[in-house]
Amino acid sequence: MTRAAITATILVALSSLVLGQGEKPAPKLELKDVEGRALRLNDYKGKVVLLNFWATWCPPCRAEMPDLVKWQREYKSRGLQVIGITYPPEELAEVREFIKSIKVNYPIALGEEQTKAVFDKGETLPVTVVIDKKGIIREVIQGIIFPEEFEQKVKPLL
Amino acid sequence: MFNIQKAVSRLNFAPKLNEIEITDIKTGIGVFTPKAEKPVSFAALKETLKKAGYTLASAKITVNGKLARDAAGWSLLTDMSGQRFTLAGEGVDLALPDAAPNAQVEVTGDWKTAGEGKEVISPLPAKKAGQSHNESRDKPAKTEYVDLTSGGPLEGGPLPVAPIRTTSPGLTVYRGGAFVPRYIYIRQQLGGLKVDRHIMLLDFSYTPTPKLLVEAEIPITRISFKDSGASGSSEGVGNIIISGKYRFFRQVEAWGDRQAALRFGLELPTGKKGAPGEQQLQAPAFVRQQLSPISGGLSPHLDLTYSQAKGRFIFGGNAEVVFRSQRDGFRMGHELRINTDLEYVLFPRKYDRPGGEVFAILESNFIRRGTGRIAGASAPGSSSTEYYLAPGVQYAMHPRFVMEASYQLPVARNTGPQSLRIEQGLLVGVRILY
Repeated sequence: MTRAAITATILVALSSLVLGQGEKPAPKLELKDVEGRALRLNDYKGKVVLLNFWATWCPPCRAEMPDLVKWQREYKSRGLQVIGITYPPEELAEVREFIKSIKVNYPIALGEEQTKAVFDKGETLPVTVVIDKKGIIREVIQGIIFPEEFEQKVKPLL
Repeated sequence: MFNIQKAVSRLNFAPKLNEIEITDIKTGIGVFTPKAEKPVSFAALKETLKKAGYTLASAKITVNGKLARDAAGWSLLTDMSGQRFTLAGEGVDLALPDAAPNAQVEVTGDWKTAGEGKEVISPLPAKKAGQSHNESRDKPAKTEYVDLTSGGPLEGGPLPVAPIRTTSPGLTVYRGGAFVPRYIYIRQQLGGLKVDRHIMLLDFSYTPTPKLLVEAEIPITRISFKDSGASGSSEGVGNIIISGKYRFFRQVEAWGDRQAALRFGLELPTGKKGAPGEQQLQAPAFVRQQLSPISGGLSPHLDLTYSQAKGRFIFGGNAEVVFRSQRDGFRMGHELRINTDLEYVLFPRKYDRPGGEVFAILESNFIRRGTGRIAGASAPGSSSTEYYLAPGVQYAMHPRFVMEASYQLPVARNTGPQSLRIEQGLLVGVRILY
């Protein structure tokens, strides 16, 4: 298990933005990607971010990823950014092998249980957090994200 | 299982997500009643589950409608959606022995799509609509589907697992509760002293997460003894054991599940401690004290368990240590137990859904018990080393109802002159999961 080698830092800070009622700012999130590089959620401000929590051992997670790859390709120019975050237990080698096999075209970061718990305390996987261009969490989609949900909940933000 | 419910709820004939019931989390059996006015499609159900990463193994459907017959054979026409189901297979004649066109019947059977818009049912014996219970004519269908590749542990227990047996070494951790009443008979002997123990062991467990199980075991014991004219009996509650088991490892493969768990238990000094007096039985105090339902006072139990399935075989093993403390100066010796458990799935020969499995079981038990204490002092000759075999059988009538029986016989024993020897043991029990 390479979990020991995976370090993740979650920084949750109150946003100084003036928010509307019920609007929740995305936390500051710093993780390491599969190559060990830092990945900061803050760096994607101005984009519509889909934070997708997944695991190689979760069949629905694997099933939805080709759609995420497709949407990333089709809507990148309109400001969509998908970020995958793994959920333990994971073998780094398995993660690398899987994302290579389906040609994932977005960054994959290594997460811990607490990383997902920041957004969703439930036990379902996958979970996709939709963050708008202002950095506000607009949706937490539990379970596989189907095309009709993408149309309804993500496309209008682009 | 949320993903299964979500996937099915996308279908235009499916009810709302919370009306789709997953009746078996382990293997992904679900039930829902489709919207009466919408035509249903097995292919669409299969496709939506596939889209969510699942493989639909089979589906059953119950349809209420009017029989029709044409050159191709019988079909069933539903009232509200107007959908036509072709009835096919060897079971049609059996299912519809006195069928007549336009008769209102309810048919249950395996469901398939055999081409564009052609839904086919291979029926099981049918009921006439007038005899059907709680099924309205306007509710044309009820479907039950089996998904055999459900999601990961987060969803409460995955997968195409082998039907792992549910008793000692006892690794299976479900989500939900279980009640396991067991009757155990043990015949013991020491010289001319013969002892019969009848134990009703009530085991309650609850699994708040798929990795954690909390458990309470309550033994109710009746002990009778006979020794050259002297005899007596007593009954009472033994020491209650509360424990927590954490499954720290699980690797899932089709019929190749591997898992390991650690259990920590605490035997509480709740049991009845009274033992026959010297006038009642001429035997050393340590021997007499063994005729009570307890083995000592507060005692921690530590248990490491591993199990592995391979095809039809399942192997389990565990090592357990019990550190006993004294109660009123008495305790049995500290214990080390090493148990193994080999199981073979006898039936069904073709496994397509959970339930109905018959397991042949062979357990072995090695027990090393140290020197006990009586009146606060060491009791020489009370240690023992024993090895037993226990062939048995288990029948999982339903994934949530299991029956079992096993017979224990000694293979090797080296017991001290103050230690009761087990001659034979019998276990009969059921396991009810809820």
